[in-house]
Amino acid sequence: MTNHNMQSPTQPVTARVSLPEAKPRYMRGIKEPTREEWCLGILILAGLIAFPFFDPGYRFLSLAVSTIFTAIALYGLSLQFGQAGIMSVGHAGIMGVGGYTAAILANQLGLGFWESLPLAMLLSALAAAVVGLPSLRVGGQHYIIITFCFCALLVIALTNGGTFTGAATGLDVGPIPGVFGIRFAKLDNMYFLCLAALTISIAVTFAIVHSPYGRTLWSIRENEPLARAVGINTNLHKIGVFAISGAFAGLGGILQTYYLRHISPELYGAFPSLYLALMIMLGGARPLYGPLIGSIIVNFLPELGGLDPIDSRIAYGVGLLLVILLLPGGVSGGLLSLYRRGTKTRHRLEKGRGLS
Amino acid sequence: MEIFLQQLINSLSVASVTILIGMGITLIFGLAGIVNFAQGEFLMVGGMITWALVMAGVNFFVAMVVAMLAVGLLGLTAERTLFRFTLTRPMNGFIMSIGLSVILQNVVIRTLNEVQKSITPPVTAVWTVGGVDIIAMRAIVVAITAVVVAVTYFGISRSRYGVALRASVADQDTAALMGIPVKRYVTGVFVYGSVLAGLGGALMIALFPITPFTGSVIIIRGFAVSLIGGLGNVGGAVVGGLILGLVDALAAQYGFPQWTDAYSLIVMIVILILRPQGLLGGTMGPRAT
Amino acid sequence: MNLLTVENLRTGYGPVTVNRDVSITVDAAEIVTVLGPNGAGKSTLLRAISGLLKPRAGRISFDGEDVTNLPADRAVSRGIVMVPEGRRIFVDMTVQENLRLGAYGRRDRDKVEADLRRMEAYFEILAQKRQQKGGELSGGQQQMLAIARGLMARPRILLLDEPSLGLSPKLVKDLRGVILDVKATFNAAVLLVEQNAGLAMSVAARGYLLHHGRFVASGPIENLRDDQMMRDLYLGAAQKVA
Repeated sequence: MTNHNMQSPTQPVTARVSLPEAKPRYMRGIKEPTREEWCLGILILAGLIAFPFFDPGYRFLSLAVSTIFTAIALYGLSLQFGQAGIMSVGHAGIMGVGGYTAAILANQLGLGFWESLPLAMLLSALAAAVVGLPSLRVGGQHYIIITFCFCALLVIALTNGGTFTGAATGLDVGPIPGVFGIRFAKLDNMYFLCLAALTISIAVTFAIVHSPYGRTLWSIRENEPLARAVGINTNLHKIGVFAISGAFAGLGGILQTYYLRHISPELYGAFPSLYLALMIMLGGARPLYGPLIGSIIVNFLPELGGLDPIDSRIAYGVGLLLVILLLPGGVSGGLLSLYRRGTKTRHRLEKGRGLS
Repeated sequence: MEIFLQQLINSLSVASVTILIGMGITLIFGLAGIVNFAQGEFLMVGGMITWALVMAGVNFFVAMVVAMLAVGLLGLTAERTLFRFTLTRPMNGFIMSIGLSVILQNVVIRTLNEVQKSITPPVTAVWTVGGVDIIAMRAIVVAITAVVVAVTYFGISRSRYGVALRASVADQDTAALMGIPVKRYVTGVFVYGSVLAGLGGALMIALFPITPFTGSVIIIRGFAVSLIGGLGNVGGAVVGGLILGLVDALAAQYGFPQWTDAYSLIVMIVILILRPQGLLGGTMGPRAT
Repeated sequence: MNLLTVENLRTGYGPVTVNRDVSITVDAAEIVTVLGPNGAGKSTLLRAISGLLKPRAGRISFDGEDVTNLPADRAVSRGIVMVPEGRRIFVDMTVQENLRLGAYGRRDRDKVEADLRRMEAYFEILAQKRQQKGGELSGGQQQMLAIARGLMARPRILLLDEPSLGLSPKLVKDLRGVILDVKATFNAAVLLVEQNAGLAMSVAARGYLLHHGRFVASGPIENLRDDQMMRDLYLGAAQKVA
């Protein structure tokens, strides 16, 4: 019924397909990463792991932590937008649901990070699914406006939530309880925790994109009436991806809360959502490392470029315009096509050499 | 009761500004299929220009006209350099408008500052009508808006250009086959929508202080107004604005003040759930082939 | 000199090429038809000539002037008018508004009212229904409205894209009369794209047969009728118009 033969267009043709019987049951139908993807992944992972050991200093390390939990939320958005084609500027609001769930649980029930984690992700997934419902009935741009208004509404609700939500000043949380003797109050350890979460997020994203479910999402994105005609329950699939995307955002949100040890409403208003959308457009939604690149660019550019916040926002805006006009796949998409062109020339050269 | 009437006029004056933005958004969407996120910033720029000129001693109404023209020019530039490339992919245009709004907002912060700007209203009289005190400036704002709405509405429904505009919205290709220069109309609508926003900004600063962030606050209401009436339906934007004005008046009177903004959003969500295409029925964007 | 000359036209959408190396001519007082099965590229050809689609290669000349890349709204003022496939009536506008829109591109605005009355005189049904919305008309009436709307532009050549689609045999007969009158009464050349070979061959003097974007046969109608290619392509599908 669903189209299993669809190859994801961004993957090179050199994909190796392993025998179904050899894979564990939950992996069946999921494509294996290509050689290039493994290499790139290992490189990036190695770089990220090594990063703290180069003594970057407190500022850069905290920037890195911010980059990482933002990227986690972005991976959720990349599934929603890149795979299913539904953009939202309400994603920061969903992060807020996750973060506030954790903060409220901590302040009201005394639950710590590890206990709140599943609940935060669950509630975010639920919230995202609910916010996603309108998209089933209205068009893309209408829906984006609705998500924007959702964020505004959320901020108002949080600001007026009294002591329950901490109102405008927000809530504080304690540090993450240590496990196996690792104290997470130390920034380095926080960094590695987030990095672990990021790695899992990227792996899950990859698995979903290359699973039958992911391919069905892509077919819905490409031609929804056709998908419905072949019997795919498009609504259910869409709600599903909203929920998954929400879970990612919730994870990012709770990490953010426990990193900042504080949460307040303006973190999740309309602007942060816009910047999330900006990051995913800049970085590129479809290539696997696009969201990470987008987050890195937006978070590190002001530091490295020596720009103050105002100028850097102008730069982001201009960057966004340029990306739309020139690089529809974002920076990572551009890099990917550069790479492909490079390999094509290399193959042609090798072939030529082989003949002569 | 008198207080309620007073509140109504006050809310109507705010609603006027929202209606002006909403009309611009809805017009541009109807013809170009693009939701212009930067419409709020256009309004803010119009207000800032008005402020600057009035501070320099220019008569308010002259400043208002200059602001309208300047923002119209801004819209023209944006359409020619950015949006015209996205007519076939409106989603890209929408995202670009987000980028444009970020740029405009921060450029204004950079050139001016974040401090709020205000002017003394050009008309400070208070009229007493039937025992009710009405602030003259607010009534003037409502009057100007009413005139603009009437002109726009009749322009679209009666004039030759209006018919051609509606044809272009209904079927771009066939409209071209009639000899209608659709692309020029798209540009024209963009400019008109921008001029409306500029006017809104000038009227706004006559009543309230504005900051560089005013745009992003007002755009939410602009969206709400357009969606309530139906995106693409100009009459709908007007109706939406009036409804929100009413909601505001009621909220100020009977509701919790901190939730004021929320009421309009909730109303919008409820209406959209019951009738996604808006109260008067909007378009889904221009239909080409 | 021919009124319309198309030389070596190449059209396409995205990665797909539709017309390859297509050349046709139409004289000022001719009715010419382009025949072919579905997907042959007939509509694409008309879209290119009318200016809705930019050709990839080749040349289109009208009355000696190069109009290859002329956009549709400018082509109308030159006298190239198309009645699109599926009629494309403005359904929310009245019959009269539709007709007036047809004359939108005209400079001689004072003559428009006279032409409007002329159309209503010729197409009686349009006079009866003049204030009704376009969407309330039947298929056949919409087709007449579409053609009248096209004629309101005072075309020198009228491009008709599959006007018989969805019409009953009786209406097709009426349509035949109208097409002949476009030339006889309204003095416009006609380029008729049709799947209904019977209708086409009963009005046209010359024809072209399009298959997979290329011409495979052309010539006077009598020759086409007997052509083997025609028979192969239309075996069983040809409808005779009495």
